[in-house]
Amino acid sequence: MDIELKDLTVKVNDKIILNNFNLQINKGEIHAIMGPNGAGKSTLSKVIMGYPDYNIINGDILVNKESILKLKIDERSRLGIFLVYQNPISIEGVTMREVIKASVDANFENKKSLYEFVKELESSASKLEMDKKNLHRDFNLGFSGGERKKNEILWALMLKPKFIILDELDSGLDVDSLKIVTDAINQYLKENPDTSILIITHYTRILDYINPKFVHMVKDGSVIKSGDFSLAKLIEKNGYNQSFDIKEDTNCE
Amino acid sequence: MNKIYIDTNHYELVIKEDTTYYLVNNIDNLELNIKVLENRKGIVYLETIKNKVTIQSEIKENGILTINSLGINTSISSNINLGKNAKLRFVNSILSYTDSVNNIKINHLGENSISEYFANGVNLGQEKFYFIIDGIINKESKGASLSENSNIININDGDSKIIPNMIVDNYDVMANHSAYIGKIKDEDIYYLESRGIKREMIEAILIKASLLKGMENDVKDQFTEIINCEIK
Repeated sequence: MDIELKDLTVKVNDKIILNNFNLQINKGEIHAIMGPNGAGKSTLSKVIMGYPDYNIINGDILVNKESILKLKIDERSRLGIFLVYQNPISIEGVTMREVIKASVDANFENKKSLYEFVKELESSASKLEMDKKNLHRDFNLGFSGGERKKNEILWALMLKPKFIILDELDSGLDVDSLKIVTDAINQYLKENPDTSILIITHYTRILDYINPKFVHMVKDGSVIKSGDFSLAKLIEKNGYNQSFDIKEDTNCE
Repeated sequence: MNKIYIDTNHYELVIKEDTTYYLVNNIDNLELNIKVLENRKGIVYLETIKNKVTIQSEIKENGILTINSLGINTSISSNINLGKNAKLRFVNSILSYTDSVNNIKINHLGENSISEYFANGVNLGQEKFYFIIDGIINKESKGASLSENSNIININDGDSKIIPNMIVDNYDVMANHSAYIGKIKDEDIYYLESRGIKREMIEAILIKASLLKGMENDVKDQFTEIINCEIK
């Protein structure tokens, strides 16, 4: 899926959160956005998803060259956009399996039988080395941060998205779980090479597992520097503040 | 699990052995008496539609009673007495689009008695929907624990109220309550929308979740069927 954020300016409660934000992600590309707290990274993910609290006062979001600004959140999801949340919610009284089934039914015209669905769900859960009992527990209730992240990726595998936003995927995941989760994502990308990814992160750790082609540094709601993977390493070495000022070539396009 | 269909205004259960009952009530103004004998454990699932029910219960020393009740357009009143070391867990879920006034009285009469009451309400109409809960810990009930948790999802700005009263006459006890009346949370709706689910279906999922909160797994499938029929 091709994604283009064009001159995007977004306001929340009279405060500009994204300011003339530009980003082009072509089909099959992996991009990473890095920046300090409050730079507007997580806002970006919710703006792409269509959260109504964010007021887009200028610019556009294009998917395969068509504007999606008029689409509601659920319509954007059915288009193939999937946001992996930093802090997914929990719902007491309804199981993981039931919620994912409702979502799968909503996303695919040809409804799967319960048997086919359960088989696929359990197979995906195995890839993530998840305890199958968790599928029958209340949705995310009492789950650790790492288990919740696995549930998010499980859901992604079931919906087969064409554009995945990973918002701070590595927070709450231990080293072993991060490897399992990123292996599952890399396998998915191998099987679905047209899928694009946007990784939102503070740290470079996740980028060692899912290697981005482009890295963008964000400050005050704008992309201020773009480059290849070496930019991430530069940020890791020097921190954000110093990296903003470094003029050295990072193979920017 | 065997179902018992109640066809009389007065029904009495005496729990002499550890037992689970599934009661289906179609009688208006039912009076349900439940007595749990010493050291016995009873689980009562109650399905009650379009009627008024009064539950009178006595839990004797070391007895345990679990009640999971699902009511549709129902009002439930109860008066439950707990003896020494007795335990009560009462999940009272009601989906209503007519008046529903629920008076719940829980009396701690013995030492170290424990009660947990969960009220899960969904007010679909614009009518009265009240949970009036009196938790009473008597002077003799040293070490007792009383907990009341009530939620009402107020879909159409109905007249919803939670009135929790705690009358505590002993210093060495624990007592707490929580209450929430409000709409379905936007955060939950947006999250599920971002997975492609349409608003109508999301509301159905979240209403169902709210009513099944705290219920035993054994009864969830049967209660789910009833809720699905109602919210369709």
